[in-house]
Amino acid sequence: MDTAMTKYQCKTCGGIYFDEQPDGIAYYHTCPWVEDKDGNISPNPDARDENPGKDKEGKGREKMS
Amino acid sequence: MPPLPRTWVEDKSIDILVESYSNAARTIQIRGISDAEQISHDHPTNSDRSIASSTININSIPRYLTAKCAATGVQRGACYVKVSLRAEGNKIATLMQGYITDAASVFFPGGENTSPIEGPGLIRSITGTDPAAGAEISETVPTGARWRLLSLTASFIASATAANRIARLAITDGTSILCYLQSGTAITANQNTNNTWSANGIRNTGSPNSYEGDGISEYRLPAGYKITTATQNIDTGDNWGAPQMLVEEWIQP
Repeated sequence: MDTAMTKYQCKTCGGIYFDEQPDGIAYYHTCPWVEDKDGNISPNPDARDENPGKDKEGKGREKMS
Repeated sequence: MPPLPRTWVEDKSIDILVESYSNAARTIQIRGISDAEQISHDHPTNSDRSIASSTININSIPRYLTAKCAATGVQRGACYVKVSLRAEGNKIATLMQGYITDAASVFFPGGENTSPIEGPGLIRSITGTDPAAGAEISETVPTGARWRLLSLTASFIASATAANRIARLAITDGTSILCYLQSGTAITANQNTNNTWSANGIRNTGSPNSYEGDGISEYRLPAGYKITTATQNIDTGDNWGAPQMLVEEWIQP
């Protein structure tokens, strides 16, 4: 099975991830929610969501390896 | 001897419609026979669980038909196929549908037609995103999938800032929080912990001998639902590691 995993860093949230799992299945990164000063959490307006049909770029991503 | 009268269906344009949903690019082999021909068709799937369709032109109704994956190592829950008979472009019968693997086929006639969310799913070990310092873990059920979360393990390194952090896992529908699964043991400054949520409850290295709280095994989560941490008193210098999740996955069109 092809396991050409590439490592990326999300420019919105700083999270680091591989675009493919060891089982060969694609991984779709999404950004975490953000917390305000009162402790309430809500979706990040700049969130990146790579899921098919969502395709929200956010601030983009950077290839690490 | 006069020719036999043509049947109603033989005056129609008939074909076989193959529809698939797969979590990786694969080839599905459709094989069979009708009274008029041998049927042999290779159907390419998409790789993102979205529908892929192809048609097989035929001259008479199939007597036998089967579908299997060409690749090896394909397990139940990874590749679903539905094969229908059409007349004049309209579906008139579902011939066979179900998960296929390299070892198990769906077949017509006499096969069992099953929904993609019936029965056991695909067991997967998934490495999630390693969040930046001060950020929470957040994993989203992918488009076209349904997950049953079996366990999640992640390291948490607390900064030198004094505070009692409480590790919590939150299940959300993508908009609203549905539940918290909370550890009963605080993580204090400079502690390096491993946190596990499973069917037995929650455990971290602050309480290595017992599980606490509710189990997670009964949550079936459709696409778009999120599995996140929501750490009480998290500090900007605290750092969650990449979560390692064990999930049972189904295809859910």
